[in-house]
Amino acid sequence: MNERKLEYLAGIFVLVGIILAAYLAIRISGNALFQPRGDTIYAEFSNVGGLKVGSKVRLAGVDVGTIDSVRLDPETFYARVGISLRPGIRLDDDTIASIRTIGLVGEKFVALLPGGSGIYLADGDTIFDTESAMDIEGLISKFAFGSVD
Amino acid sequence: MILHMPMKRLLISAFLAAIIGSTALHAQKPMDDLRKAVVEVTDIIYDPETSLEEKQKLLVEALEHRFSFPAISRRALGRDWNRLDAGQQERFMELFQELLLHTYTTGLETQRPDERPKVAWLSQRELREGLMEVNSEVTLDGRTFPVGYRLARMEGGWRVYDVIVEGASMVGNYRQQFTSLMRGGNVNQLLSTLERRVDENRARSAGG
Repeated sequence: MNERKLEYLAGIFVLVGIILAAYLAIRISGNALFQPRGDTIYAEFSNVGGLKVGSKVRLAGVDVGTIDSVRLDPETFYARVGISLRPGIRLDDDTIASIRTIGLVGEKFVALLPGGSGIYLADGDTIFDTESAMDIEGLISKFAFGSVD
Repeated sequence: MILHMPMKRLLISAFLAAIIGSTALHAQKPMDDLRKAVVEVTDIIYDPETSLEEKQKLLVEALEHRFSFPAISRRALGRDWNRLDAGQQERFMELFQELLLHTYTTGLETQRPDERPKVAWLSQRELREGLMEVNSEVTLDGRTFPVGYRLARMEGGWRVYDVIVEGASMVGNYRQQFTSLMRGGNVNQLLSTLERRVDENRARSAGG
């Protein structure tokens, strides 16, 4: 009888463990499992400066999505970034996507400057009007020390 | 916006190159023609015999034909463009065009033949049907800067709608400034700020 009770207890313990692990996973993923997905759009940059999957996407300083994918186009050598937008966010096709840094050397994020063309980007469309990551160190050294060529 | 002097001269060079850039892009091999045209036009621009006034006049005429100011204006205002009525849009375009032309034509007097920038044409690519990007490098005062042009195919041919220097977009820069001026949908604040800037520029030009 005692052995059976012990088994029950172990079973309950495992179950609680699983529930807690699932809860933790959902919290960490930002409730993504239960949220309806918005459009995924793409943006091409000549330099992403280390932007990572999961980085934030902001419009007017408000988080409106996350970076879904960052990959190199083998033909053009441009970085193609997938942006997963929150549902309800519609962007015009002349929106500018700009890679910014929090502070001088902080985390990278994508800032969206909304356009007003009236033609909306659909799921899978690409933003071509982009500003790549600025090489701050390079700029400072250019002005401070000049160049050899 | 206060521009550092080398940066301002760089922008002027970028605009000069774009004038001929948009002409040459009609051709089959845009970059080859662009290269030839740049040499040709910089010869004129850096001609010590041409007076400053004459250069400015030529430049203004050329800019008006090679840049799409309606597209630049619309893009610079972004979503706020639709908050303006037709009359306000017209007024905004006039003021913004004058502001841009003033920004990129003053400083021509500092262009000396021995300071002529070197332009290296790196690549061109079609972004999508009717949109093209041309990338170059401009060397000025011993410093090299990446300069890119975004062009759209319009009724009159390829027209520049944005210039990107060191990764920073001209249209993006103005869009951010105009967005803060238009905060709360204040169209009058936007137009009055532009009017004030234009008046200041005119007064400065008249004062020599």
